[in-house]
Amino acid sequence: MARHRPGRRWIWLRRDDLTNSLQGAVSIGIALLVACATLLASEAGGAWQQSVRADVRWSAAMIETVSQAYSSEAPPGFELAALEVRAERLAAAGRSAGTNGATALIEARSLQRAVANLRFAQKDNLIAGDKYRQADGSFDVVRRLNDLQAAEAGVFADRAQPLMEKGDSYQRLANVCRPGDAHSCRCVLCRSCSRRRPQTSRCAKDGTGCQPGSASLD
Amino acid sequence: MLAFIAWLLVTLLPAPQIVASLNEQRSQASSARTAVQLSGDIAASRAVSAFRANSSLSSVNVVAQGLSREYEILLPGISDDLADAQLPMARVEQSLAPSLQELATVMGRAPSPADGTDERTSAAIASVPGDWIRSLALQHAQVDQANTSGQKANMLGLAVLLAALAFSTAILAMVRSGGSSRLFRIMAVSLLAGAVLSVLSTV
Repeated sequence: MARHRPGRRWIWLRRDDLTNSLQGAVSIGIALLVACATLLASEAGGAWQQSVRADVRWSAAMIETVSQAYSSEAPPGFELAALEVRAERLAAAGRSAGTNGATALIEARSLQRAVANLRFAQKDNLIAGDKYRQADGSFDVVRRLNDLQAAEAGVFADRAQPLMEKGDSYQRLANVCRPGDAHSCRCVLCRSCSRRRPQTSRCAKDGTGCQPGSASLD
Repeated sequence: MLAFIAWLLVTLLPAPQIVASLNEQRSQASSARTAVQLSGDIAASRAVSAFRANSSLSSVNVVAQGLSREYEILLPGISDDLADAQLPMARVEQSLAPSLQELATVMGRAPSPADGTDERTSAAIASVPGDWIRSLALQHAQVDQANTSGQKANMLGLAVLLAALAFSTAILAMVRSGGSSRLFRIMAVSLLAGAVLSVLSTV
């Protein structure tokens, strides 16, 4: 009696071939998806790092301009305005005091001269000219800060958040490339899904996946 | 069957590993941004509050100067003429505080977007210690999230490696015969168990 029937063996061989081919095809398909996801993940990581860099640049420029306005220029501005107020009051008191007011008048004049000397040859700062002068004698530090920031408009254009969002969109695409992850695939389509069925899940902006029934975060 | 399970793990595990790695990177970026913003908020807020405090102190100093001048006038040995000349100055200096305080308030006012100031700069200057504590807590949470995701990615990477080794040893067990086949099978089972344990540790 023959141990192996040729016909049956042929069928088994064909089934093995089919299984191997299927396994090979699945392996290649998954390898391609993983490669795609890896490349997109790399892009996402790059965008997030760029957003950190943009934030560091922005923060450094912000600290620099605020420090310039409030630590370097505002204190002399305040002292100057205070000296002027003091000189005005002393002059008025000196005039009203008659002969006893001579010392006050001299003090007022010396303060006025000091103010003039302090403002002499000042250029491009809070106390230079009357650009930042206000009706009450003070200086407009806020406007000075705005001008300092406007001079560095390129740095202050907020690029960090768009870069973060760019990274998030790459992450969502990478999630689509995850084999067997229907949840994330749904997530990418969630805009159209939520338009049709607002009560269904929506995408979280931080790329953590869908949030059932929650308000859209993006 | 052993080789098939190992193959399944090798093909399916890289996906969650990529996801965990992405979550780690995002959390790290978020925590770095929060740390940068926090330090910026503190520096900006401190610069403006220091200006307010110093200008208020200057107002008080002028008043103290006026009081001291009046006190000196009252001391013995000061002639009446000198006292009469110094008294108007002392009175002026003592009355200056409200005006100087007003100057300090106007110049030290917090900017707002209505002034045309950048929104984030306004928020940074207006920030108070309570905001910094909240930002710090958020930054800590983001760091923790990055750690958790990083550990998950590492364990999944280990699981992929062990599954790949289990797959290789399972194939060797199939092509060898006798004692060595048995040995390779035991190795494959051990490696596969290690891979499964690694995966379970991330759940």
